[in-house]
Amino acid sequence: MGAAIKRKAPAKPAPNDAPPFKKVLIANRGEIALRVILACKEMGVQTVAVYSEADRNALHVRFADEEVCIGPPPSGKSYLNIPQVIAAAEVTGAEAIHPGYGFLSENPHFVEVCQACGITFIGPSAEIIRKMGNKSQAKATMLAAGVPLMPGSDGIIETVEEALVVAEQIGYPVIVKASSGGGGRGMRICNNPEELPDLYNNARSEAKGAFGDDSVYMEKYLLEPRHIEVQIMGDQHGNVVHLGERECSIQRRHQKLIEESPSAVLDPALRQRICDTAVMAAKAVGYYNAGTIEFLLDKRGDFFFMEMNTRVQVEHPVTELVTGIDIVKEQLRIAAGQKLSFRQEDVVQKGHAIECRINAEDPFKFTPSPGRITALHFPGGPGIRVDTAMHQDAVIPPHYDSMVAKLIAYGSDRAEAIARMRRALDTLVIEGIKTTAPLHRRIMDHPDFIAGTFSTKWMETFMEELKRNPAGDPR
Amino acid sequence: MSTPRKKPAVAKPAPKKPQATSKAAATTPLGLEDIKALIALAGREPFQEFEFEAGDMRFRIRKDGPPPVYQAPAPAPAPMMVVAPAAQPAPAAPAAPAPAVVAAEDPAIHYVTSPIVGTFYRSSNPTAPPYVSSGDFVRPGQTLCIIEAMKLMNEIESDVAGEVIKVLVENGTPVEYGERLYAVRIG
Repeated sequence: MGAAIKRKAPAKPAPNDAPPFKKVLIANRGEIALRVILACKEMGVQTVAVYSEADRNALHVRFADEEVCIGPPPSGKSYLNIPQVIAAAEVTGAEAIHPGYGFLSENPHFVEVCQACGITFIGPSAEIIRKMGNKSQAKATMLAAGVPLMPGSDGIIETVEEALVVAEQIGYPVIVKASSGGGGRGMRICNNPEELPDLYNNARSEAKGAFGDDSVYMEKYLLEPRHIEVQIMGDQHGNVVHLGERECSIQRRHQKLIEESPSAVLDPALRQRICDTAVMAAKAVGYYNAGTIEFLLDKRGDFFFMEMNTRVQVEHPVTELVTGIDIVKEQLRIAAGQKLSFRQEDVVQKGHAIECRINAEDPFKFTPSPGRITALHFPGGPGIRVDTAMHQDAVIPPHYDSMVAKLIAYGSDRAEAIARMRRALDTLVIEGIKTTAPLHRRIMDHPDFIAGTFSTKWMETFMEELKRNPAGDPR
Repeated sequence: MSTPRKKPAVAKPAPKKPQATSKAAATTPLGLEDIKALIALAGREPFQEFEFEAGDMRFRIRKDGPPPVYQAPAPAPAPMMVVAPAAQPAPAAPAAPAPAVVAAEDPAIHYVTSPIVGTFYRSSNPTAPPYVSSGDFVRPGQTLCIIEAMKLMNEIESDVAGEVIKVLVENGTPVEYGERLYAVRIG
């Protein structure tokens, strides 16, 4: 047998590495459900997947220890069906529910039902979600905490006349937004008093249709703003830390396409200010678990609170890569009542990470492209992470979100991260459906992206450029 | 019953010890003579099919079909419903009258499925008799069972008229959405 190779004895797990829960139910699907399952597997936590009939063959169902079908394909009857989700937790004996993002993740009523049924919700309290979920109320809370707000209406605007008065005070351009909004729906930008009445009414009816609530508010519309958000983590013992910022300015119709950390435009002083402000905002509401505070940063370095997301974000991996902190595992520990496993001074942003959201959409027209994946290859190599629930022969159902994968590249600096993202996109193969990968590949070559000079409006001008020069897939 | 069943990778794949046929026969309360008498009785009487259940033993006599058939104690419906690759036992009929395979997709058989996730109970309380058993005739709207979810007892009603030929879930076990609870021969 020859000389035995000497190995180090495996490190003994620290005492607080005991699994925070025995069994966790994941009330979600797709890549985020899988992400939570992976974290649970690492921690020795048993997992329960719930699924709709459309997801019978999904990977989150396959990789969980147990699975429960909770309803037909429409999410209202399955993933959003609170009694079904709770019953699934009860019959399987799950102690806690991780909601992922979307679906029930920011539903305070669901949190209360969990509590009433003796199930731990992996996230903040219902009270915090309520406080931060309603945008008008969140702004009032932030104002009281001394967090800079965008100049805007003091709460809901009831009439066109009121809208005209407030817009005059703020100064055009202004933006009308749905109180219960998100995802760009119920939003209108107005440049002058002539177009305001129609746009105001449109925003209200769109909000009514999308959220069942037609209350809207108004704020100043910044020119060339950048979307900068700060990852927050807090425990139930009053400790709140930040994990640095993410830049999410590459977005189309308020849907993020590319996120990165750190931002190319923050200098250390500005970073410190914006992150400290986020911690202050989180402390003001007694925040615990993972959350994100979104700011708009203008050309002059002023930043304004936009909203808080009281859940794990789609783009959390870029923060995980630059800080080395596993946000999802930390969420579980916090929910179990443990203290944060790190202090603020332990958080160091090292290197650079970029995430591209690969959606099942036409890359240049953005029309949805559901269907069956006939061939699939994910890139690998140094510094590449792929968060996905796709597999060969997977069928992308038309009922849910169009995101099929998150491609995340890490490098020692931004240039290396971009270079790795390029070659990752070049070696990504998804056949059978159209995806936005070719669009990302073009963005990675664009001088503005390489220089880091872009605002939340950048995609609009880029799309115009594409129309003039509609070369397809650069491969 | 695919609900909280562990994956083979994690748990031992043994879905209940399948009791050998002979052993079941040995423990049956009926002797060979009794069975013969029952067969004779079934032959004389005007029914097409006769099913008998006692303890671990169950058998069915069906006329003009394959010869009288003995069925081992259906080891719960588990193997039928393993979720993974939607493989239905297709080779149902052609060859020998082997150990009675209930024709998988007989159009005359209707499956009452669970509309919710919860715990399945055959009776209104532990001491009460089951709402229905094999051989009972049910009508639409008739309560078949209770499914408990979030401390609420939900009565599940039949959506067809016919004869219950099989109770597919054991009392007190969890069921998921769409899980088959009863096989009912429509008529």
